[in-house]
Amino acid sequence: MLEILLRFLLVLAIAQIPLLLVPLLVWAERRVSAWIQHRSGPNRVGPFGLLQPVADAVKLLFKEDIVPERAARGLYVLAPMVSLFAVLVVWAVIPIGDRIVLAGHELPLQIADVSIGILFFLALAPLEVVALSMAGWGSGSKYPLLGALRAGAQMLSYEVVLALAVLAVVVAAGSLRGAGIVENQAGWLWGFLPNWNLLRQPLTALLFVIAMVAEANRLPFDLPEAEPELVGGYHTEYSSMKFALFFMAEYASMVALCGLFTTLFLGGWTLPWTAVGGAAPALLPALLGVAVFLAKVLALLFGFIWLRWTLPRLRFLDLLRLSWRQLIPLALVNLVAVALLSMVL
Amino acid sequence: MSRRTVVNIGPFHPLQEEAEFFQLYVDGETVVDVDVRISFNHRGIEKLDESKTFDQVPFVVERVCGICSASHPLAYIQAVEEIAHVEVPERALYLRTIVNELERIHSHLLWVGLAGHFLGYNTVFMWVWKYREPVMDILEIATGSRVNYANCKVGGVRRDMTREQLDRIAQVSDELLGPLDMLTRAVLDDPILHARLKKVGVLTPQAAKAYGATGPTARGSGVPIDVRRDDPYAAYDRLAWEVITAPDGDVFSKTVVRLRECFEAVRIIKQCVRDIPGGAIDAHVAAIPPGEGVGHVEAPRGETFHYVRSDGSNRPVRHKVRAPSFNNIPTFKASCIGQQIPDVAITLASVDPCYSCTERMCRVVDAESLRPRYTWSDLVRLSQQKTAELRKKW
Repeated sequence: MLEILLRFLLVLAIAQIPLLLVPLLVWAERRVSAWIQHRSGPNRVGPFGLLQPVADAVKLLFKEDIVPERAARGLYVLAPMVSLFAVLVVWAVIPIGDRIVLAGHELPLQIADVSIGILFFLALAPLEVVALSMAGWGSGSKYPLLGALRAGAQMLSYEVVLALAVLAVVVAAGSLRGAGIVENQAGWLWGFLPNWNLLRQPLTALLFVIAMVAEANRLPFDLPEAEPELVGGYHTEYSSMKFALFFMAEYASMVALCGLFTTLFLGGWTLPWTAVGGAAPALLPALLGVAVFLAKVLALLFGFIWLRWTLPRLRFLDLLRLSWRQLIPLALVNLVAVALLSMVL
Repeated sequence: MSRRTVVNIGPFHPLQEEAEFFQLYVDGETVVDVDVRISFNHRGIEKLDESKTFDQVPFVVERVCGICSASHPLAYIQAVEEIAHVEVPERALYLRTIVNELERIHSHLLWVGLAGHFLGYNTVFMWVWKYREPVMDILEIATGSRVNYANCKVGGVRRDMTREQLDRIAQVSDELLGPLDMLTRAVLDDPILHARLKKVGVLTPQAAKAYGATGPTARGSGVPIDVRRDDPYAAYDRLAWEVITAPDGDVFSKTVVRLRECFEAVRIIKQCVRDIPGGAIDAHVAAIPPGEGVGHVEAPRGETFHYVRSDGSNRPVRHKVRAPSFNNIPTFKASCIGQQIPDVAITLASVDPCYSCTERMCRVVDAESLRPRYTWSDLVRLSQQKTAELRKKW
């Protein structure tokens, strides 16, 4: 009974991480973009403007909740919920640490350590496309529909690249479990480098990063919401907290993707040259492991933001061309090469 | 025949700060036709001018456009000076040149920033507008205002510049060369920008001539027209500078033309500061005789044309303004069709359209009887009819 209770509390705590990271990320996005663009950014609400996301949330709560007359009401209302659900649920299979011992019970630092963890991620992440299509169709307006069409085409194209890149890692690690893949990255490469997949399979990592940015609809791949062309893209007709849910989903999907990247390519919670992530499931090393994992995720998120404010938007057709003509063949070749190499080595 | 969808850009749209209305007829994401509708912002400036004295009109016409606020008054003043046959003092001509070239720099930088914004390149937007700031500041120092300079007057200029101010202008322009160089290299090197801008929104030289495009829009299509060279005014014929053209007619060419024109503008300003003669700045025009005159100026967006008629009183009896965007906006018919929706945004922006300047009333006149087809009361009636029909449908 106690174990179940502890487990429940742990799951609850881990589930808060993306929800807490989202406002931080919104703040960081605005501060970093301001820093890159010689501006100040939000600096009035709270220390360093940290409470700005809270103020924004309060503002959105008080906005009128409008449902367009020509909207398909069910789809319209459901879409933001599905969107946020899709990006939050995949967080369940990402291990944020090794194991932790609480009151004599050894528990994994993960919401659900299922044996097909990575498949679960690949299966549920595309639910986002469904949500965006629902929003686009349900709004009963042209700009959201065009935005959703683009989002669908773009995310499906890059889903393939993402899956092929993930497969290459899975093939090399021989495990579909997040924790298994992290354990597979323990040890050393050529005796002095961390045995991370980032260094073992740099091409896979690159493919994954490109697909990841496209999946998150971020610049230079933010065509579904290209403001000068489509006003706001799929969420043009949304207001108040429904809009806020889409907004949160966008950032939560970045957090989930960065979590997956950390697990697959950066050795998860382990930190080379230190004992963090070692075998002993004591409290302190376990928490340090979580800190290491979060630090890696935050560094990746910073990269995401940096990228957004450094590059212009690609053209839609070029984007699809890049995926189908270049990245997918490359990812297939990469997968075969990785498979052959792991048989030989 | 496939189904066409209408995508409205406007009347209010984040693409532009002003009210404008483009109806794109699209097949999928390909534009098959475009309807340009302006006239959301008619202000009746020409009519207003008829109630002002010759010296008051420049204050009105510099408000025709928030950016070309040196070009419009200068064109008007040149038209009035043509009526009165005024010999403008040499120093005033140089001062006019300096202000007009500073205006060209800040207008082109403004456009580069906006173009960056339309491409989702917001960092360029912010950076370029930061570089533009010193230019606005120096205009404020020299003329008293960042936007409406009130610099020109009939017969000369309103206020002189000191040697320190002139040197500061030269210094600010000089300091701009570094960022300009960086920007130009960034645009010429960036593969994503090449992919987004090259072969997009192509306006062939033939089309540019057929639609009567002016300014950077024409020069970007390899048509070397420039009022500053073709019919020199101010001090342009006394200075060494080049008409910048680019051959391809795409958005990339127009960008390159604008960036390189900034370098030429800096070159012109530095020569002006070096060569400016001393002496009077005003010819003290007492009265404007009856007659008519035209003035045209190469504004940042192209040729600004003003026509003024005087009956010998102290007010113009007719003042006609033709802003460059009026010529450039119809080129969308040639450059947008066949494009994808995402390319249309930047193509529309590439002529640096200025809608308020272009606004005008149209009157449909019967060709035989020369009587207006629609009078004011007809239009009111039509409008009421339409409202009634709409209500019936409701």
